[in-house]
Amino acid sequence: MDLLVMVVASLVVVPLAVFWGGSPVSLVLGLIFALFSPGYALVAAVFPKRHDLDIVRRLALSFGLSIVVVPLIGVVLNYTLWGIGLYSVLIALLIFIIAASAVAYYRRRRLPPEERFEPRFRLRLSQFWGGHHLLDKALLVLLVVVIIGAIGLLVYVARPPEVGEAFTEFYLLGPEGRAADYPDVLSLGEEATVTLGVINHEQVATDYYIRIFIEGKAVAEVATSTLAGEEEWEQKVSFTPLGVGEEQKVEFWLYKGNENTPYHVLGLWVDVLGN
Amino acid sequence: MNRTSLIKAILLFAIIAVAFYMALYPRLNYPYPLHVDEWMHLGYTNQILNTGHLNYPHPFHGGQWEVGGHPETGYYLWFGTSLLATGSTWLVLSRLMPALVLGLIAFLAYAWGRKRGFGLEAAFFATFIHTTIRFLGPAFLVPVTLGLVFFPMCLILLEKMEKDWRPLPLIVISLVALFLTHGTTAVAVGFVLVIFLVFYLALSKNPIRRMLPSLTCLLLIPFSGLVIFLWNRAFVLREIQNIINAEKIPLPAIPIPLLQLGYIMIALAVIGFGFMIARGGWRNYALLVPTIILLFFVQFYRQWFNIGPDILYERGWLYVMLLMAFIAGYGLSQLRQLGLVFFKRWRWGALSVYIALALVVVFALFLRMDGYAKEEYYHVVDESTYHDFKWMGEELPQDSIVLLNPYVGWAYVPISGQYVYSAQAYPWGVEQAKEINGFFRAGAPDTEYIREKNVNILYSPYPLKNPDLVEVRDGVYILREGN
Repeated sequence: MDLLVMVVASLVVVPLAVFWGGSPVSLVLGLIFALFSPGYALVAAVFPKRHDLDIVRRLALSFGLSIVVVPLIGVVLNYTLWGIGLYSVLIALLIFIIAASAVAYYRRRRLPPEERFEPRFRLRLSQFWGGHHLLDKALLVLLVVVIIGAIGLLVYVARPPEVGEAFTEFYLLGPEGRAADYPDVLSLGEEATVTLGVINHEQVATDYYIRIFIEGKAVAEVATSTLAGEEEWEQKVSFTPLGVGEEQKVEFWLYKGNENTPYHVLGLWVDVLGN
Repeated sequence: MNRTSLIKAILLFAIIAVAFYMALYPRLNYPYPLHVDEWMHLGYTNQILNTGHLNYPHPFHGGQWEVGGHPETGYYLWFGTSLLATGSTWLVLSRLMPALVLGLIAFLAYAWGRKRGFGLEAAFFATFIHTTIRFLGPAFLVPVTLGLVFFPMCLILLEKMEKDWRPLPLIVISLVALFLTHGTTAVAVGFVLVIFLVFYLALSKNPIRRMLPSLTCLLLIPFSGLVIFLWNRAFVLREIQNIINAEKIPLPAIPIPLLQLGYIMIALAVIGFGFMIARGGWRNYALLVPTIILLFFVQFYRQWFNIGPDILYERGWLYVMLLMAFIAGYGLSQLRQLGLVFFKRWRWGALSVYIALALVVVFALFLRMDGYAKEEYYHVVDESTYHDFKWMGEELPQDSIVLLNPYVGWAYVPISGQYVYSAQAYPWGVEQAKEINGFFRAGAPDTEYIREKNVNILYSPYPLKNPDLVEVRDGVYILREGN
């Protein structure tokens, strides 16, 4: 039964990882698949008898030997046509788990039933609840609380914390919204277009406005709407050089709220040719 | 489940919760990997997953040279497989894994020690293993942390082998996998196993027939190291050279880090030493001897013997701490047993002993946390730098090569997926870092310098005034097309 459950759970992991990778279910089952199942199957195959190992050592070795099996499978895959990829790794691990489970099943079947290892998780709660001392009941409740607490603690501390760093992302893209094709050489009077972006990480709603300067002279201004925390703003803006000259500096000054000093300054250089 | 089992299960899960907390303590308020080595290993893992092979372009510099037979490949495959199986991002798993690995170390310590009556105590003190930016530790997701799992696991297998041949191949393949994961730890685990086997063979009263598996294991352990020689001959030869001609460590000597474990754990380890000597037996001697040898080695070898390789000196403290955790656990269990015998005629004797032990444990934990709180950890990137790198990875061409401070280069690559001109860990590459920093401070006036280095993106902490560069984001400059 234990082997069957493990094989079925392992079979579920492959589609989960492929189609729903990153979901909490995929995370939990994937970790069991990679960090427990190969070792469990191996231990079951090598030690099929009940008295070969107690349950604690069996579980401990299952985790430990998974760390042994997984890299060795990866090394073997490296020398195959399939290499080390999503499908090859998952399928190779799956084959290992199924093969080791089959060996374990075969070896267990050859033993008298009373000698076979068979995990027993029969917890008859009603019987336990009715027939035990109050202290034992309290301890059982405490055990459940501690287990839930341990898992809760893991989830709580493992989640990425909010750092609370206050900053704003300000960036400049080309006219097509890619970091390419920035205005480089222009004719006098020709309008140039770039894309400006702002992302608010200030932890509070913030107003921004941007001034565009060419050679120190303001030529355009654009304001964002009020951006809520983590809100993004992106817009195409245009400017026209005022005179002919090489290496004219075009600057984009980002201001926050009503402040008079720029928060960020970005810049590019253009050569402006006469008509 | 009887009452004793229930209490033990409660305590075990509580200890595992402590392990989770201990491993995550340094990063409670920080979402990203902490140590430069964590970033470096992420880069290698990602490169293996991207290329699908164990021979690949350098993960940080690209096609400048090819990496093959990396000595920590086993770790990359283990972490890479975890990424693939869960479908999670490295950001999630690199945070979760240290907690799971330390929880596993504690569980294995419990599984190993419980037959001798100190499982819970050993598990508890195993969570105390310290983490510093110098010799690393279980709070960092690095190969040596994974390697620590193999100490209790191999000891469990070794114990099983006293009656049985079956654990023998498991021990050998474990050592092979460990040599591919972290060679230094494999040497240390092999050393501990050899001492256990020698004491067993010399002092055990078992008939010779039952000792044959252990004798075979003793002969096979050195051969398991051959795998790393076949895997990367040049690396092994270089390390042998290091042993023969020890180079001066570029870092200052490590002050004794055992104090970070707290005086109570140290006192219990000393008590455990005493009990082990007093009680005798091959199992006790087999644990004492490697601990003492390793302790003397990491503390005194540099001053007295001056033999390498440095890595054993750097990481050796972790092995000492783990073995001392077992001994401190043994010491605490012996005090418990002694107390129960001593006060057994008194009505409240047992309760008093358990209350006293609980106080010892609580104070030990308090002192341990105090030691942790005093430790300083740096952050390679802050949140805005992380967003800069992420943006660069998303917006700038994937074949970009970036010039930036080499000391953040190792973080740049896993975040952005692009290559860098240089990535270093202090104290290596100081001259290069100075040169690059000086170039940035001067405003990057020399376009030829940029071209020579074949880079097209610059990430500078100073404003740059070169008209060939477009500042597309705070500190991010791209070389103008056509230049």
